[in-house]
Amino acid sequence: MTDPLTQRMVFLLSVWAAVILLSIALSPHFLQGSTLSYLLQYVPIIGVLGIAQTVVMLSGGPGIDLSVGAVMSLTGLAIAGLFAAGMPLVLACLAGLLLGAALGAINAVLICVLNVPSLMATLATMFTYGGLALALTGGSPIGGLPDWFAVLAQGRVLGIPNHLWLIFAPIAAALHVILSHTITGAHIYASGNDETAAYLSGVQVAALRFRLYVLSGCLSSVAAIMTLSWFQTARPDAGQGMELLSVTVAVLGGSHIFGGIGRISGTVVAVLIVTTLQAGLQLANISQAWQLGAMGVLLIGSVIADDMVRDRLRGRLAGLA
Amino acid sequence: MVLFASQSEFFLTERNLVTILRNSVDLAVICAGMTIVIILGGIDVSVGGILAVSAVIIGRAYQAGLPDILVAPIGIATGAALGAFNGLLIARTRVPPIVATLGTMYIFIAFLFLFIGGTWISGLPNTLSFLVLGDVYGIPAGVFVIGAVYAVAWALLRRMPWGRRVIAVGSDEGAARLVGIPVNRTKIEAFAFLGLLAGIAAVLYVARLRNVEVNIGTNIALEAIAATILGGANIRGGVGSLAGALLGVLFIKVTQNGLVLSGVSSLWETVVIGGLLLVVLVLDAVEKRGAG
Amino acid sequence: MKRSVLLAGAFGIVIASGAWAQTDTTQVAFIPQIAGIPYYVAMRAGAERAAEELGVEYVQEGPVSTNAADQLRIFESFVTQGFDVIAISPLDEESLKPAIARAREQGIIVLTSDADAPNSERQFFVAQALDQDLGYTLLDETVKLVGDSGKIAIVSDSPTIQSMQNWIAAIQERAETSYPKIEIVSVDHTDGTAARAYQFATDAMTRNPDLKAVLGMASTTCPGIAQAVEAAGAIGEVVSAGYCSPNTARDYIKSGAMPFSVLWNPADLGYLTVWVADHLADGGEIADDLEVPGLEAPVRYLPEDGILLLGPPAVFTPANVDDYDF
Repeated sequence: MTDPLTQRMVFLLSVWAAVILLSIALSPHFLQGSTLSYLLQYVPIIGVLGIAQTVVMLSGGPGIDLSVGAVMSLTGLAIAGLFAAGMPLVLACLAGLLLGAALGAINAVLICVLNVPSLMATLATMFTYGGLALALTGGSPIGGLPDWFAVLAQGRVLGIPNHLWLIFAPIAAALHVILSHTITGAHIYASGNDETAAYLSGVQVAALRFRLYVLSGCLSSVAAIMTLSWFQTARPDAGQGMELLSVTVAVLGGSHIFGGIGRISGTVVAVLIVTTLQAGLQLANISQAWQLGAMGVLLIGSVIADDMVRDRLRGRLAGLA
Repeated sequence: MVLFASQSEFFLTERNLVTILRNSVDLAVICAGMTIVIILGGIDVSVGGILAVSAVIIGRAYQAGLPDILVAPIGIATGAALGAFNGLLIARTRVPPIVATLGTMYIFIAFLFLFIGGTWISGLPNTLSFLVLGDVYGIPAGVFVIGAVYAVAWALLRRMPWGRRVIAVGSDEGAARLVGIPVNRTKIEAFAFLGLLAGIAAVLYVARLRNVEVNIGTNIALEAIAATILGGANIRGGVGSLAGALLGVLFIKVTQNGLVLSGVSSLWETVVIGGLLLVVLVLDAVEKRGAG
Repeated sequence: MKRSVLLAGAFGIVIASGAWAQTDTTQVAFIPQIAGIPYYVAMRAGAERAAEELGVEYVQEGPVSTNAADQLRIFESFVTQGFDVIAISPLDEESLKPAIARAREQGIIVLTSDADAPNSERQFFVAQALDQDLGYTLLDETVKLVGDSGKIAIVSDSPTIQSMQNWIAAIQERAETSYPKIEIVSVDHTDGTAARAYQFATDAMTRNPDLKAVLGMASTTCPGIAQAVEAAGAIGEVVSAGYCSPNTARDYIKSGAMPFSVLWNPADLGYLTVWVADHLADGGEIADDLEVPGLEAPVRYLPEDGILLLGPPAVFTPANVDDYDF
């Protein structure tokens, strides 16, 4: 009897394969060499945000962070602004990461200390941070980032964009290890599964979740840095819509909204599915509206399929008992 | 409100207050439904999509030459049907409402593009505009529309058994099921009601603006959720207030209006609303800690 | 980069035998700022007419919302598909610069149309009129109606759309230099819905009871501002005007809420874009003013900036609005 997580992985990988086959059927250009880098270009940014959402969801609560897009926009602007004001770029990036952490900490205080439900708290911060990004810049982007910086997101090695293997892969790998092989990881799953039980067995649930929201803010800044490198400009609406996309990706990857279930690997494959779908449909010049519709069906379908699989497993278990 | 009144002499004029009211009608109508859904323990981020698709159907109906008597109910029925679809999905499967409605939002947007045929529907008749723009004995029609909708919603929620079922499901779904409440049916009904209200909002929108464009309803879901929360609803379910939601709507619209009148750039609007939400949430939380 | 071009070529040969892509016809793509608004639908009509006449394959794909990242994605999709010419109406020049440069490296001809990216490597900008002229004309026509003193409010779409920001700047500059007694009291940005435009227009009228005009920068604002004037019963007192398509504005032009609208014929713009694309793809050059068969007036060429000008903007009034259908 295969365990549900492996089942999920198999399911996800088959969906991805199906999407790839569909894309090939739709457009001859899909099999080009340049398609790979076109596709992978988008993966790290959505990927990092998806991972942020996954860890927040895993710890339960229920946990969700709707502000990831807004944090991304705001920190991006901060970095570009600092650079334009004369600060060396690397230092500005570090400042951006700190800002992201701070913005995440605000979420953390609201949710973990004041017990505001995460949906409401992050909705409020999403409005505030996003609004600040637009208001402070009047809507104009801040450009002028140097070309050497662009190498990060625009450069390629063997056709794979730099920021994928330099930033995204290490982060994904690190978090995967933490979640599956360390005590902290176990604690996170425990908090998500049953927070009372976890607390009673000594897990500092609130403190743990606090750190995860800070991490989410930080990861959003990482996404901002990658976006900055890709466009060489900071746009105040850079993160718009990303929060919903990150939730889509996390859930598609098998994470449960109420916590306790989910894996980084699932999220990664989900990101690949979504970007492949978008790229494949786009290359066939199928309008974006259809891409969104397809994503919606995929999202709902995958959760339903998940449930059906688990039901069948439970049925088998019951049959055995 | 005092702040805004002081900043602009025009704020307290009758004309301005009527304007705020007119601008609030769509959001207010949807909020009545959103409050009920949130009390039920659910949430619906696809309501903008429902509004949009209903509006397109209304536009097409007008273009086909159908009279008002038919067009309005068609639009409202479309909304109710889409809402029921959401409800069915949420009740029958174990997909959490936020995920389900996120998915249906994407799907409804796809429908929208499909039906709108890639361009706007313009020049629609203004025969129903009186619903929003007209007066009855000097009182703006909007008051009656909002009044009627909220009266019905209030009656459903507080005076009829259905409302008690909704609150029960929202407070503790498991217990509600054990007690014999038809949880699934209640959910479908609540989401259908929200959809129906979105259909009404679509009728009002078209009546007011006589135009259907592709990005109708983009922000309305989040605004509605914000207003409902400002009004005291708790996302965990079981708690919420219709009157509060209405106040929340007015609050948001007053803010938007007040900012413009004070000469503050409209870009600060979202910041102000977000900030207000934060303040309300913090105050709420602190109050609860003090009490508990 | 070279290797992937070779690979692409190899695959292309293999798959072309399956007869999906016709790589011998010139392929032209156009990316509008957003999909689904009548303006770009009209452009498409003109473009497809030219495509049919010239034997060119034309594809138009735009983002669902005015999102520069989505536009970039669509642009790169066309690059990957190996289109011969890609035209785009950029939302934000900065995001596209690196991508345009990469496309040029691959030998793709890049044009801007409807809105420009002046600092990028685009070869030509097919313009309806210069941003400046558009701003000036709108203000001039408004002044003709309301006089050269008074208050005017501007309602625009998202501030992240560069072309509209340019028009606003042009209007403000024109007011300062030529009509010092005209005061621009507010510039508001909607979220792209007519409802917000309606709200802003009404609020502007409330705040300035002696407001003379509301100018809409985006076609999305048109129904909103005109309806606001009608609803406020201010026809004749307040003028609404903007860059609105005749179909959207017709009712309001006739009722007087929007006495005039400034636009150009987007179908002609679409036509010219495809014509220029085809011309360049066939190895043609552009050095001087052009006579384009299929367009009435000659097209002006501005060599310093690489701009091709369609002609003066058209002003739609009650007298001529019924002659158009877009």
